[in-house]
Amino acid sequence: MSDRGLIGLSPWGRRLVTAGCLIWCLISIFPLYWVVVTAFKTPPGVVGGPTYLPFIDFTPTLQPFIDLYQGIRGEFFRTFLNSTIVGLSAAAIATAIGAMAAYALVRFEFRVRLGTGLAFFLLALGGYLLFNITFGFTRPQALLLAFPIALVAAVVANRLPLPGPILGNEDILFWFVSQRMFPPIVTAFALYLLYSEIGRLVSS
Amino acid sequence: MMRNDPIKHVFIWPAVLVVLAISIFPLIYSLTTSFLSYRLIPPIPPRVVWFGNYVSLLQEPRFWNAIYTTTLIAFIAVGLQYTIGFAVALALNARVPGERLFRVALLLPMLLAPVAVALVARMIFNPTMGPLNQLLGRFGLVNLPFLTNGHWALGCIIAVEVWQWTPFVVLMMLAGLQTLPEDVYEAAELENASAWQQFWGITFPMLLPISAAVVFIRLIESYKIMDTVFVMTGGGPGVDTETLTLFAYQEGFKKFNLGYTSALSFLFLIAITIIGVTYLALLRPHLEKRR
Repeated sequence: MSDRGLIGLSPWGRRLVTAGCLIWCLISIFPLYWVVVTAFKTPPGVVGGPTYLPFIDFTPTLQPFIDLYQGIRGEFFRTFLNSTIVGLSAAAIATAIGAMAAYALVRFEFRVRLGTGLAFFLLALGGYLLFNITFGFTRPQALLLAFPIALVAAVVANRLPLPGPILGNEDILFWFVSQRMFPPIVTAFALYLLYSEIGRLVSS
Repeated sequence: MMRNDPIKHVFIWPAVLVVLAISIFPLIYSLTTSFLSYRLIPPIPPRVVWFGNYVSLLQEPRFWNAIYTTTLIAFIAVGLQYTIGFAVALALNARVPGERLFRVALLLPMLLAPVAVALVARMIFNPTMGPLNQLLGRFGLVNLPFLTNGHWALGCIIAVEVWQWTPFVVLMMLAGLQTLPEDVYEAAELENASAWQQFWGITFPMLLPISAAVVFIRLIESYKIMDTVFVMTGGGPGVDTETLTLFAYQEGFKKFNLGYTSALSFLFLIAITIIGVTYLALLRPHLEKRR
């Protein structure tokens, strides 16, 4: 692509645009520079007021890095390992499953009745309440029992000529993407409670 | 080519199962819990209160304050991100001098973890020993209450959000700009259209679909903001910068008020769905015109 865009501008306009970019670049870079510089300061050096240039403003020290290996903070690399395990495995699983689903959505045709989705949700909800309240299962057990039953029922129901609109590949794609809208706190909180109940079951 | 082959089920079912399990379990669990009065501390057996949690939540000023704060942060931050990001993308696309350096430097903030960014921001906004205080001190403004006054704290959080996520807009808009065809601009050039007319007549409308997507992603993400606020102000001073997610966290993981928190997360889910659907409905006519 040619350098169209700045062509129509006067020399002063060009300078203005360049200056704008430079300012935003400085704003972007400065906090990062600050982190790097602060990493070489002693604790009193950090609290004592801002200093900017190593060897001129302050004497850099490697002590913070040495502290990372020793004492209470010596566990630093364990945190690194934890993040790596979580990140790599989550990325690998998500990519594998997601790529398979994307391939299927492009190559094959899917037809799901809207009624099936509703039936699934109602059956899962009803089954959960039934197992939990009437039969006295614990909440995690009731959920785990209701889920497959509702799923099988929904798959069977999809073959029946139910009334209502039929959803195609685009709608399924939208459903997948719309999961990004789901606030993580909802999932985190519910899963936390679920795990703690399962934990109580296992330990008792 | 669309084929119909039973193998398709092998490909789609893992994803469907994972997403269903991760979304339907919490959904059913919070829906049923939201109708209970259920606390872990003190441990009282759950009691059915139907819409009691929702009613008390809707009458709670702190809830409305959280909605207001979150909306304010989301809309102002995304507006600024889009404006600055689009402008920078245009400049980079037009090969501003030093464009290669800018391209690398401008994308760096996006790569950092929000918690790390918030920690750095706390150092920089420190009212006595931060560099920003020293800079403003030169102009006679000493010890401004960056994180200890409600309005200032909100401004600082928005500034950090803009700082971190403008690169995302730059990246997306730059990708969009590079797909635009050259010939329309040549035609506009022949018609003596000014640079300003070219932007509003060609560039902006042609980039509308990608703009819509970028703003949508950022808006939804901004509504879920938590870590930045948590580290920078913890929702304070008072509850001046408390966002919805933070409010839910305080009620759920600090007070263990389970029914209340479930009702809150359900209202949150409904609110975010309404915002998303309204946004898409508002944009649909503009997007379909371009096809």
